[in-house]
Amino acid sequence: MKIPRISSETLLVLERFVERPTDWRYGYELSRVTGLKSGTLYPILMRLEKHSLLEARWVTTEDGVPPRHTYRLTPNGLELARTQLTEARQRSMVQQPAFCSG
Amino acid sequence: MRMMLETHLRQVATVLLESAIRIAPPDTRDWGQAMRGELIHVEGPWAAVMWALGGASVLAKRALASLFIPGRRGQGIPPDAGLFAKDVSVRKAVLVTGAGCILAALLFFAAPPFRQGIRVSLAGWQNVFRVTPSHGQPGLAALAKRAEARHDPEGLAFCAVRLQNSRESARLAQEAVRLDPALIWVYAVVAVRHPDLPQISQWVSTLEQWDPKNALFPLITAESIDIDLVSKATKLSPDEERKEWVEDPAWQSAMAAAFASPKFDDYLDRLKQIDRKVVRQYRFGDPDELLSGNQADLPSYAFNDSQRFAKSLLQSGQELEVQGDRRGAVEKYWAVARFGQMMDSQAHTDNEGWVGLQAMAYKELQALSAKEGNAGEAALFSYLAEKFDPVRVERAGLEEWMFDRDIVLRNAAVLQISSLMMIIFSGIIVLAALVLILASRRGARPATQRYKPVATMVALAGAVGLLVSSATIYLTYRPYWYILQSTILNGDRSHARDLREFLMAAHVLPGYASDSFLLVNFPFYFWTGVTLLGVIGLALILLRHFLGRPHAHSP
Repeated sequence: MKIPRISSETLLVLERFVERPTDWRYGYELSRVTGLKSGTLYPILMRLEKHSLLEARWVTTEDGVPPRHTYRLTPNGLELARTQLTEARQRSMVQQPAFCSG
Repeated sequence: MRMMLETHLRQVATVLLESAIRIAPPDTRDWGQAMRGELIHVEGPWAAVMWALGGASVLAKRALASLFIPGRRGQGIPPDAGLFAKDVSVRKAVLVTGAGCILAALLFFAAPPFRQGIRVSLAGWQNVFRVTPSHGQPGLAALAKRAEARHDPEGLAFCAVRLQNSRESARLAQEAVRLDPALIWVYAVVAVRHPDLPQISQWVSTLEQWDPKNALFPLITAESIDIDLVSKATKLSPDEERKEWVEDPAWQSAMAAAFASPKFDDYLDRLKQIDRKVVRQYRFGDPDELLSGNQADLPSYAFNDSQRFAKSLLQSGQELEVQGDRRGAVEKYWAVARFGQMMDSQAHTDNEGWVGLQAMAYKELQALSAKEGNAGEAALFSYLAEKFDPVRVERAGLEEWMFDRDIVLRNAAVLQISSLMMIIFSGIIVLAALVLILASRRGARPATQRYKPVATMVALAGAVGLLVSSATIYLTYRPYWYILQSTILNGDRSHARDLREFLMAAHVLPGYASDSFLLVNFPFYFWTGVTLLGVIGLALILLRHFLGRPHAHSP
């Protein structure tokens, strides 16, 4: 079976979730820390949520302000994220030149 | 002021996102609301607009996918899609949209104005690459062959009056008249268009027997003499040249006969009837070849020199008046006025020189009538003299010409750019398709697969560009197609000049134009530059968007 390639943008999002796995994160906050635009970030969140790797909930902050959607990884999502990030780091180390100073 | 701008920008962002939520599939609307919920927290009004634009594009893509992918209506994401298989449905939707655009662009080929527009826009390139000889008329040559094989005199006459090769034109005219002697007038049209033919004197004597009162034949004779004199003129001083002209008895006699003739017929009405039949019968549609020879309706040298003869008549009228021969003077003035009127009825005297001569003749007649105490006649001549005031007539004509010419040049530039862009977009589509095929093959390298989204977007942009450029070609050329139909099938030549100018401008390509046309062709350079910059800009934005994203482990 062909294994779909994980995109660098998805890894970026997963990495931010893994940093503080129990915290609920807002979309705009994720956009700022990852540098991804809304047009890139939301399709990733939608796919993660669709596969039950991400849970979302609505939060009402104050009167007259629209409720906000917040997200965090599910236990399955966290496991998969850690695996994928580890693999990605190993790949990047293999691809680095032997005498790379940085 | 700044606050107002910020408020307006945020309102624009909100409206944009809320509109996108309305068109989004039901299962995606929550996500739209999520983006809408964040909008108020986005710092800076421009950042809010960009946030809304990004969100709206996501929702629009989902809406598009649900429309195009069968069985996906109302569903944003295919349930069986892999976690990281990026928006397969969206990519499919993009490809389906692209294919739809290409199909729609191809459908334009079914429309005759579009096919003709493409031919016209490519004719300039044919000249560059010498696909056909620079003055070749392959369509007419083929039609002449078919007409000869069918022994069709009208088909032969149609070609004879249009071919630029004078010997072939004369041969076809003679063959047409041999098959149908009623077509003898074709000799006159061919003689006007090829004044250097040796058969002309023989043709003119035959024509004068057939239609003895037509001023056209003496003008054709004068034309032949004029051409001889013009070829000699380079060796003579201007004074000698003038003398040679005025004193040539054959020229004087031909001009006198033309001015004494009671009618003028250029036989273009008969030609129109033949054009109509032949174009339909042979399905002949090349605008350049159809209009070739459609300009020379008159023996041009003779007509221009008829002004010289008219001036000599006015001068001799004044001399007769001084001598007291009023009747003789009136005859001279009337000869000029009558010839002018006769040519005017065929719309041939709209040039400044002839208009001025007519005005002068009427002024002389007005003065004579006033001297004779005939106030009514004098008032009539005064009105006619004013009507032919060259300053007034010329100004009106010039304004009309400038207006038409501007539009015509702009349209020709648009047609050229659109056809160029059509070729460029076709090339872009082919390249993008090749990348997509390579990336979709089993065992394709990850580096190749990385270009798949870029290639998909480039293919879509190319397809949209192809559709837009095809539609532009169709819409730009359609009026000229109707002018051609109207000129050939209905005999309405009122806009033929616009079409001729358009064809001439559309054939001039950058680097292959004469100096005078380089200036005229400025809109082409300008709009080509603007369009190419636009395409390059779009390509750079796409590349930056797809290749310049931050990486997972970048600091």
